[in-house]
Amino acid sequence: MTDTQRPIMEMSGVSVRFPVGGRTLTAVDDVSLALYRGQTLALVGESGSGKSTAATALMRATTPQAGRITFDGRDITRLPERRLRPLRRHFQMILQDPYASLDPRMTVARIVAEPLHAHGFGTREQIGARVAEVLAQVGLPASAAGRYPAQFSGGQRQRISIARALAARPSVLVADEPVSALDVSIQAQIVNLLGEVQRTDDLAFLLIAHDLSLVHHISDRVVVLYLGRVLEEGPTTSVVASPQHPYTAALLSATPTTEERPRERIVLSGDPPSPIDRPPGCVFHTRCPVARAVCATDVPPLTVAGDRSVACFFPGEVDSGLGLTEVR
Amino acid sequence: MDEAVLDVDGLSVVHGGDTRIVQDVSFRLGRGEILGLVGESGSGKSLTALSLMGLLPPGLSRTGTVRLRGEDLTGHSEKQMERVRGAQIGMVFQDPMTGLNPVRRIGSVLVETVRRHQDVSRAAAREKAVEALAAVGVPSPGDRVRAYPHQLSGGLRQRVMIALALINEPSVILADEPTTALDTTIQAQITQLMRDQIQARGASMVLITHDLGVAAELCDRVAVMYSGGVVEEGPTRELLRNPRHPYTAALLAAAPNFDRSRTLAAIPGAPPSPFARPDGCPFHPRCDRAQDACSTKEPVLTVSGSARLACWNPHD
Repeated sequence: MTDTQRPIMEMSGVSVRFPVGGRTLTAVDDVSLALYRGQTLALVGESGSGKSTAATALMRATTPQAGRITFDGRDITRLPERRLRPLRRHFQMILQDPYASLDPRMTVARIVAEPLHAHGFGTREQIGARVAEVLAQVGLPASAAGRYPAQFSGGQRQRISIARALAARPSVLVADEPVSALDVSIQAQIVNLLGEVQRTDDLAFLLIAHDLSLVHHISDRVVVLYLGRVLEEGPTTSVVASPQHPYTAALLSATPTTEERPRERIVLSGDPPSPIDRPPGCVFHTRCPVARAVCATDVPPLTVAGDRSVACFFPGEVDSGLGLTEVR
Repeated sequence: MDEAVLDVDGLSVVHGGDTRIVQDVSFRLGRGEILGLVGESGSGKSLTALSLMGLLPPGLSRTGTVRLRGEDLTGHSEKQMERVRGAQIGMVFQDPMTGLNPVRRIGSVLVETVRRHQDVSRAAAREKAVEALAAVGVPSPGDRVRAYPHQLSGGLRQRVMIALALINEPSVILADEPTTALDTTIQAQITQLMRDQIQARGASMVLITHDLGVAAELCDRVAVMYSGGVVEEGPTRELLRNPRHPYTAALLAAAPNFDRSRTLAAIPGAPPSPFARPDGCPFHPRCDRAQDACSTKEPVLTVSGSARLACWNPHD
C-alpha cells in the first residue's frame, strides 16, 4: 500500500459537540482519519474517547460541527440525506450487539436483502442469488435464509450482520466493537471472518475497539483516541512494539493477556475526566505519569515523527513493559 | 495447602431433578490463595459461585458438600446462610449496581452490613465504613459516605463494592467478573487493588472470569470449566505455559495477545447445551485430538502432580 494512493473515505479536522444542559460536550475534537481500500484501520479508545461518535460522523449519521468528510474524493460533510442515500451502499456499518441490531420479525433473507432493495440492486432473482452468495461467504448454511434472528447464537447473528453489511458490495466497512459481546472461542471466528472478507472484497475496513491486543492481530494502522483527541497514530506493529505516547504505553501495559511480562503493569491513577469538563492543555495530563507544567497549559499538536504521529511534548518516555521487539 | 479455607466436593447444580447444569465440581482453596474459575458463557462458572453462597435461582438445586473453614454448609438453612454471606464470604459482582441500592447512600449500606454481623454502635460502624472506603482508595471517604451510587464512576462503584465485600473481614471473597464492565485502565486499578487487599488481609479469593488474561494476572491457580465441569486445573503459570487439555490449549490459542506472528485460532462450533450434552467428553465434537474413546466414555478429573486433568488424549 503506497501513501500516494488516494483514500476512499476520509475525515479531516472533524469535531463533534453536543449541547448538554447549557454546557458543551466535546465528543470528537479535531480528528482526521483516512481509509484506504485493502487496508484495516483500528480506532482504539476507552469509554468517552469519542471512537463511536467519530464513526457515526464518518458514516454521516451525525453531522460534525467542524471539519470535512469525503467519500471517493467528494465532500459529503453537509450533503442532504436525499443526495447521500445513493452513496450509502458504499459504506456500511456493523454494531456491537448482534441481538439489538437485527429486526426480530424479519427472516435472515429479508434482513440481508434490505440494503439491496434500498439501493435498487436488481430483480427478485438477482437479489435472491446475492443473498445466497453472501450467506455462504460468511459461513452460514443456505437454510439460514428462511429462519429468524432469535434462532441463532450471538456469533451466528454477528455473521448475519456481516452478510447484511456486505450484500450491496460496499467499499468501506465500519465495525464498532463487533466481537466484544462474544465468547473468546467465537470471537476468534468472527475476527478471522472479518479479516477474510476485508481481503477478498478489497475493503477499506475501520475497526473500532477498546482492546489493543485484539486490533493488533488484524489492523494495518491504529489511531489511539482519548477524550476526543488523537494521541497517537501509526502502523499497528510499530505502535504496539514502541508506543510513543504515555497513554498508549499505559493502555498497552494494562491490557490483560496471558503473556509473561518482564515488568509490572503501569496503573494509571484516577478516572478519565468528563468530556463535558475537559482539562486545559493536554487532555491526558491529569493522569499522565510524566506530565510537566507545560502539559497543563498548552495543547500538544499531533506531530509527525518517523512512521508515527504523536500528540505529546515528551514522547517515548514511558515504556509499556511488555518487552516487545518490533515484528516486521 | 493442608488446611483448606474452602473445600468444595462433588458440587452439582441440578435442574428439574435430572439435568446437571454444573457437574461434580471439586476444588480446595488454600489460605491466601486466589483460584480462578475460567470458562465461557454456559460453562457453569457463575452457577458454581451462586450455589456456594446458597443463592441459586428457583428451579435449581445443589448436591455435594461445601466446607468453609471446616464447617459444613451443606445443611444450612437460609437464615444460617445469611450469617455466612457478607461475614465469612464477601461478594463482588460484575455490575456494582447489583450490590448497591440506587436509592441509598453508600455509607448507610456499609453501616448496615457491619451492624448485621457485628455488635457495634452506629457511630462505630460509620467509622468503619469511612475506614473501609479509605482502604480501597476512595478519595475523600468522609464525604463519599453520603454519595449515592449513581454519583460515582464505574471504577469508584467497584471500589465501594470491594469495601462492602471486605468490611466484615471475611476469609473468602467470591468475585464474579469484577473487572469485565470496566475500561482497560480502570480494570488494571481494580485488579491491583484486589490483589493488594487479599494479600494484606490474608484472605482467599475465588475469581470467576471468562478472560484468561485477567486470570493470568491475578490467580495462583486456575480451574478451566467447560460444559458444567472442570476439565483442567493447575498452577497458573504452568497451566498457561503448558496447557494439557485440548480445550485449555484452544482457548489460549483463540485469545488475542501481543504475538502478531500467531493468528487467532478459532474453535469450531459452539459449546453444547446442558440439556443436549454429547456422550463421552463434552468437548469431543470440537476437539482436534478426539479419539474413539472420547465419544463414548466421559473422562474423569484425575490428579497428576500439582494439577488435575480430565482428558483421554491430552497434550504432553
